Amino acid sequence: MYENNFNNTLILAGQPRGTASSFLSRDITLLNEQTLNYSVNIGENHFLQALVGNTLQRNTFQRTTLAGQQFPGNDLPTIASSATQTGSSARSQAGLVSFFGKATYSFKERYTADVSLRADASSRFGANNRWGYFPAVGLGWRLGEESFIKDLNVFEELKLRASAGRTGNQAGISDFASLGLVQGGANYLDLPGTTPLQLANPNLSWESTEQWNVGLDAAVLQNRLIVELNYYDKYTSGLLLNVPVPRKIGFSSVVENFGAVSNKGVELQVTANWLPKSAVQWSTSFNIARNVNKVEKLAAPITAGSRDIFRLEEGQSLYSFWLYKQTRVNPESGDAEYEDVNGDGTITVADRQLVGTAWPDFFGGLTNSVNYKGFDLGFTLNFERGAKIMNMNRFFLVHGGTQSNIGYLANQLDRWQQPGDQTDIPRLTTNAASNNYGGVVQNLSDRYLEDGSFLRLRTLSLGYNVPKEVVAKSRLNSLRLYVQAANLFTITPYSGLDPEVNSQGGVANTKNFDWATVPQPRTFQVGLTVGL
Amino acid sequence: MKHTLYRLLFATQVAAISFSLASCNDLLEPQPVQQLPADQAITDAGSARAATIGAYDRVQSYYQLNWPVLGFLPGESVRFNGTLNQFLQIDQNQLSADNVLITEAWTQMYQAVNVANNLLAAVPDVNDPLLPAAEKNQLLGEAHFLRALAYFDLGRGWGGVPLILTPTRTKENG
Repeated sequence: MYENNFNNTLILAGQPRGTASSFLSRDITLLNEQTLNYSVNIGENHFLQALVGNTLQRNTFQRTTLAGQQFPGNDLPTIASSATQTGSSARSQAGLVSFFGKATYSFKERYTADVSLRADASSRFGANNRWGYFPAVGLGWRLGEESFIKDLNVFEELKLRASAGRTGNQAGISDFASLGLVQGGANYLDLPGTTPLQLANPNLSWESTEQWNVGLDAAVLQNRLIVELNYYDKYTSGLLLNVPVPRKIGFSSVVENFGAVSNKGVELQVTANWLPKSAVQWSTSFNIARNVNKVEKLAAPITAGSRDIFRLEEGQSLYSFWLYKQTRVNPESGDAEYEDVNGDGTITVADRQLVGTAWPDFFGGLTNSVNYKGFDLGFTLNFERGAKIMNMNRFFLVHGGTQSNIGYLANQLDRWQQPGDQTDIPRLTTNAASNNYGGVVQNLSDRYLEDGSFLRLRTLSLGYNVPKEVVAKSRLNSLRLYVQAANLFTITPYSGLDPEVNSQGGVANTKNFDWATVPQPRTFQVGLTVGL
Repeated sequence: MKHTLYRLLFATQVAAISFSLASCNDLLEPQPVQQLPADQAITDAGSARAATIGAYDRVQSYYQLNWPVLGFLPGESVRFNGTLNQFLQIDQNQLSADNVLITEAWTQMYQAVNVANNLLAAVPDVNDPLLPAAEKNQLLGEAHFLRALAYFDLGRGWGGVPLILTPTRTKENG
């Protein structure tokens, strides 16, 4: 990938005389896979399929970065024209060796059983614990094929599914996370120096998830209604986390398999084919899901993200916001008041508490499509309910103080102004202890935590497939005209620009944090698809 | 003909698998090119000098911001005018236990101690004709001095502090 950027002097990033950067990165994956397949029908009723195989994978990553500052003018945007030039590079490599086997047996197409086992070794883990073993079994029973169900004449399809197994994860850590390393770049007076980068952890191993699930598929009313129901229970242990260590040893954290998290949830999908026998084909699909997340084991709480806004604690869920709880704005003085959790009479860091999570209570979508004589009309709606968003835009722009180069949101007008005012926005003051520029950290309160529920029209499209006979005359295979719109409307109580937001995408264990994020665009598209 | 083809395919598979087993170790133990294993960082004259420069860098890292901030900002000659609470807390002498400037300064000082401990443990064993005894002693002297300086500042800031005199390799031996 090759990328060139130039920030001209008309924007803030280009001050004072223009800045530019150029990246050249190469991400290569070499994959060698060999599999042996075997399948056989034994008699009429038994069917057996088996597969064994192995893969070898090598990922190499390389990037060269160049940056230039101080340009002679906005018409000379290449780095060669700049007065100050700097460069850097990054390289990394990882390997993955896997062996796997899978067998499927089915009897009369009614009962099926799957068994699988895989063994994976990743170069990211410590020499002592590189291999992980991941077995799984699955059972299926097509009840609908049994005569006692067939006789009911209700179900076109009825199937029960169940599976249990273990899976592994190696994402979220660097390629050399298990090694004790020393790196360059610790320079002094333009002389090159080296310094320790990270601690070794030769026991670092796979994060693994044990899970089981049960499901039901059913089709009734001549396939007019299709229902899929699923329940899962996952237990993830040995999470790959940066665990704090006593800083007297010269390091602040080490990557370890630490703690456990559980996820339990239900998923339901209902599809309706309204007019199965008519020329108009109309189907609607609705899905809804709920996930309950809980940190099951964590020896010590870990904070994450800017200003420690997120905190992982045993017994709570991931993505919990760790803030001060504002009880009211005193109607007499106009100052905000906060809950004194430990009751010691002062507000200190000990009074921060978990005040909500970024997990929705439930979420889902609705898809609708209508087809008639080559015309098709469709839309997709998405919804989410109950997730909280930390709106840092309000923290900075409803700050209640005075500060050069930082303005206000209109919301600031609702502040306390005279004794007796009932509001949650404190008075405007230069007293640092009472506005967001104060040295008291409790200003980071749940006042900025908002409900991020939403209903969004994801896409709306109308298309027309030109009939085959017409298309054939012009020696084409197919021709489709369409208009499409994305993100047409969003209904949400959230006061920010977009309820689907995360400004800290690169920071582990954070979610729904909004700070100066560009919202998703509303797009309109007119298209022509030609099949030759 | 058909059988020969199958056999050929099978032989290729077997060959591929055995090849893959042979190359496993190579694949699973890639060497970082941008970093060095911690125990191979000081082996000759050049790396001993670079590690010494690294000790100066760690001392400069707390001297350039956190140490002067902790020393001067609580006084009346400097005032902070920004949004970051950690500085304002120090300006107004309202410190909280999670103030990152304090934890950062503490960490950087012990990083300097650890770099010096690495030097003091490894430099005596370096056998390189390009590192004469006089320079070796000078590097060891600088490491002793920088570690003493870091402990002097730790003592000035906190009073009694943990004394670490050996290099840290894993969490356990710290």
